[in-house]
Amino acid sequence: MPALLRAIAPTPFVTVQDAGRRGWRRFGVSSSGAMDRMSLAIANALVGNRPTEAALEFAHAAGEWQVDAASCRIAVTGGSFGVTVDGFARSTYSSITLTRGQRFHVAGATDAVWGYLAVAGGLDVPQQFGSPSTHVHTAIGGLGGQAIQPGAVLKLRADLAPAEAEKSIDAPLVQSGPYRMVPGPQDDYFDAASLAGFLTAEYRVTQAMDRMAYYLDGPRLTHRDGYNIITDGVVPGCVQVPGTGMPIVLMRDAPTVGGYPKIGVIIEADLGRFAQQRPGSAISFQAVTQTEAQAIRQRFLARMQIIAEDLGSPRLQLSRPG
Amino acid sequence: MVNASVQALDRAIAASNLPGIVETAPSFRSLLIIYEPETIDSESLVDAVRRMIAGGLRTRVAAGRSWTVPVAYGSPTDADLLEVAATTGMSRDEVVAIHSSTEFQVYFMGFVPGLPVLGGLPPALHLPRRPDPRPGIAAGCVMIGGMQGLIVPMTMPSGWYILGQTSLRAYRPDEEDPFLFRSGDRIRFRPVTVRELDELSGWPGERFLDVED
Repeated sequence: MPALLRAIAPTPFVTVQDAGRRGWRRFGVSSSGAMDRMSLAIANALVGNRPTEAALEFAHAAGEWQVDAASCRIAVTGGSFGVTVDGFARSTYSSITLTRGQRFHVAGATDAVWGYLAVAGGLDVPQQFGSPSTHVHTAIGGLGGQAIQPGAVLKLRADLAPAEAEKSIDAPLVQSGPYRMVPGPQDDYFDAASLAGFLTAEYRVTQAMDRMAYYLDGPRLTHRDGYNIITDGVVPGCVQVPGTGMPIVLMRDAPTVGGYPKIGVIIEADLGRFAQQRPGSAISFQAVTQTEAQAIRQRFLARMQIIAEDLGSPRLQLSRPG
Repeated sequence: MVNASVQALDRAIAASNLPGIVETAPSFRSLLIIYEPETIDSESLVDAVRRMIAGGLRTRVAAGRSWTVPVAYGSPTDADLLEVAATTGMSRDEVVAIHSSTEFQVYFMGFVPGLPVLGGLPPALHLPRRPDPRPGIAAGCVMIGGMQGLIVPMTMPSGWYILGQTSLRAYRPDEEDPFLFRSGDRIRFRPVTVRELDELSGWPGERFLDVED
């Protein structure tokens, strides 16, 4: 009998995500992957998976699920979501072992947007372009390129929960403060006052936010000479500014190219905590050099590795093969 | 042509075995290089790329692949084709004649998977994009906008103009090689009737490849 996880009443934006795909941008394929890599890594580590293993990512809440396997170990991370098993409250940031027929429910958190539900042994989801990550807009990855639909079943690789004791960790302290960005590549498209103002101003995340982009609201940025650039490559974290003068932060599902000037790029170490900002949250930016960004990235990856290793997770591979 | 330099740099980096390169992606006049700073720091990478450029890039390479793509002009609707004719002051047939006698080059692939952005559109057909993109443009539509052409690989919104449609599918997710075109490929369009296009519709895309690598 196959081991399954049944989506009894999933919320609308549950998708399969891993650490993202690489190598296909030249064909127009977005990288996708978890909006908050640290939370993905911890969810996986709690159930004994590789930190980059594919898990279910959900927005605000995950809904109702049922285990159809002899036993199954799960963990929920990302924020203080309300996890209940058969109606009894359980903790996030703790592994939970369930047996056949048990139902669990993941309700919303007030301190986060994206949550992660990892399953010990991993999800048995086919890879497309080297990753099972879902890109809904182009129907790539996941289950048929879609968000998980009500009634869908996910195959699990393991039919039994691991024999090890349950694991638990305090939700890691998330650094507060401005989001660090490397200015450019088109910061010269903005007048000096606008650029300086941008780095001291307060912006707010608006309701227009999804896996592709977060639209911000705040002081209007002024372009020096127009807002059209010759379309060039973009990556998650790019802060692009269209004619409205309001910044748009490109996120994991962003297209591969864009035609608006980019005032800066939020560094990888800060993109996950940025992604967790709910509409209405006040945010600000701080410029760092490329050298500083590289040092911060190394500390961030080292921290992720220490957390994962403390939980006994297999070593994090900084460079994935292939 | 600056895009030829972009393509040449892309090839040079691929051939260099420079460590720490995750992937590269060309666009019109720039090359995106994604790298792992754990392996190569940005200064070393920039130095290495500058040396490649200073050493001279091979922008003239033996002609790459070339395609002849059948197009039923004015299909599924000729509204855009007539609008292009009116805007440019030409007849419908003149627009078709210019478009189908041009050799385009795939400048890069992007926006959505498998979409070839085509350079080489004659200035007579340059025209601004629509102010508002239209949703639901179908796979196979052959379009122009700005100074470029494109072939729609999957249903998507677009602010460009539909000149016709082809039976070729630029994105074939179920095939081993899902992408029909590659950056640097050359493309010509051949006018066919809607009936001829129907007959060609079952043909594999590779049948329209004139010159391989």
